[in-house]
Amino acid sequence: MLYTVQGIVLRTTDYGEGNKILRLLTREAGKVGVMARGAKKVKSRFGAATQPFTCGEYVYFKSSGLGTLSSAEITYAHNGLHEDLMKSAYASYVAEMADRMLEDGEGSAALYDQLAAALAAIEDDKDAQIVVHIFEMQMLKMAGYAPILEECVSCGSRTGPFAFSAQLGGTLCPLCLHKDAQGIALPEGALKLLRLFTGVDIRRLGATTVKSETKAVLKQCMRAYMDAHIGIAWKARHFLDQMEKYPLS
Amino acid sequence: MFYPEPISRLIDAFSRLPGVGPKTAGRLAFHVLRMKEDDVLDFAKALVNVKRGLHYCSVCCNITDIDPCRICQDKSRDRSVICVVQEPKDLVAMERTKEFQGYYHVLHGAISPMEGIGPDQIHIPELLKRLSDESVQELILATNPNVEGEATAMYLSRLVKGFGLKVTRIAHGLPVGGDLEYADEVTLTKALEGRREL
Repeated sequence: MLYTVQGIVLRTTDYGEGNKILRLLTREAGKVGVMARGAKKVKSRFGAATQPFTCGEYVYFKSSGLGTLSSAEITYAHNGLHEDLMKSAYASYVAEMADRMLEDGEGSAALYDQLAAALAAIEDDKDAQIVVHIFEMQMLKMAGYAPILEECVSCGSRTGPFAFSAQLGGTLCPLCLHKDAQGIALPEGALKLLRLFTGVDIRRLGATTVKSETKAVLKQCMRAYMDAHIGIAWKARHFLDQMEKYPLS
Repeated sequence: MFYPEPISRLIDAFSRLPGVGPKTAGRLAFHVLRMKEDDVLDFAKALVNVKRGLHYCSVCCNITDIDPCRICQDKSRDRSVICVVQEPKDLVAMERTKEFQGYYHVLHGAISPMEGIGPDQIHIPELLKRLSDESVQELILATNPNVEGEATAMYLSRLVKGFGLKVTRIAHGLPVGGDLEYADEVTLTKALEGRREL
């Protein structure tokens, strides 16, 4: 059967001499795998449409298993992501999250819109770290692992100042802080942002200015939480760490 | 297994090759059985030699049986230009043009944020050593025109800024013999950006 979908290329894998397997997040059918025959060859019409982060209309034939790409029309190529190494790295992390946290057929139109908005925001010079944290939170919510941030995860108290416990899954009040030795002290600004991340629509994200100390706390919290509950060794995040270790002029 | 042990082992060995399934591996194994003994020995020696007799060139990191490799030993080449390619196969493709007369550097991979492959995992330190030692004036970045290739080219161009070199990137655009009508928007945009005056 022939399917026409709006999709974003999350990842490509070389297959055989000149073929590629695409992982697409589609608006209509969730995550799908599609074989693009001859996509690696110079004269292939699929060359550009099969590059990661490309948004487009993809037509594929599928009976069972992997579909076969029949035609592809680029809607937005995200050239800006390909031409900047750090933007490319952040976009890769966002795409990797969508690829590895979703099974085939999983995903929704809302998630597709958020992914498209996240890629556009990173390309448009919005704070990539903040965009990534919002998308992390969206993925956690979708997977059913969203942290509890409105009250103490242990006793339900709403009296702060709160700390963040990745292991226990949310904020801890001062009386319960002893329950997690690895609890991260959470300044008021960082807590407000974490709460904001759970509900914000990336399409409406404007220019953001977040202090570097607050960003450091947010990164520590989100990283600990993702590691504790998702437990995937993120390749793109490892790459970002390497780039931070060896900054370029 | 229904086959005698040596045949089973050969089928198993062939099926480890890319694109070879058990049926094809069986067919190849029985073909080997029918070959002359000398041809089989040559075949086996070729397999062993490719593993034991090849190593990386100490200058350009290409795979070679002699060190430095034949290209790096060629004094008639232009010492002021280095062309950076991803794989040994890319070097062969460039050599087929017979247009490039400089030297090469083979990275054996590309920076890939998607795969988590960073600058540490490809042969960049060797390139930097060459740039500081040799009288190089131009660095041509001939990595693939995809996300990984672009990332590598961007990284290298920023990394070698301090050397005061001319850094160039191979052009992107339409393939010779291709039809403009069937070209995609991205390729056409790149072709327009890289247009030249006649």
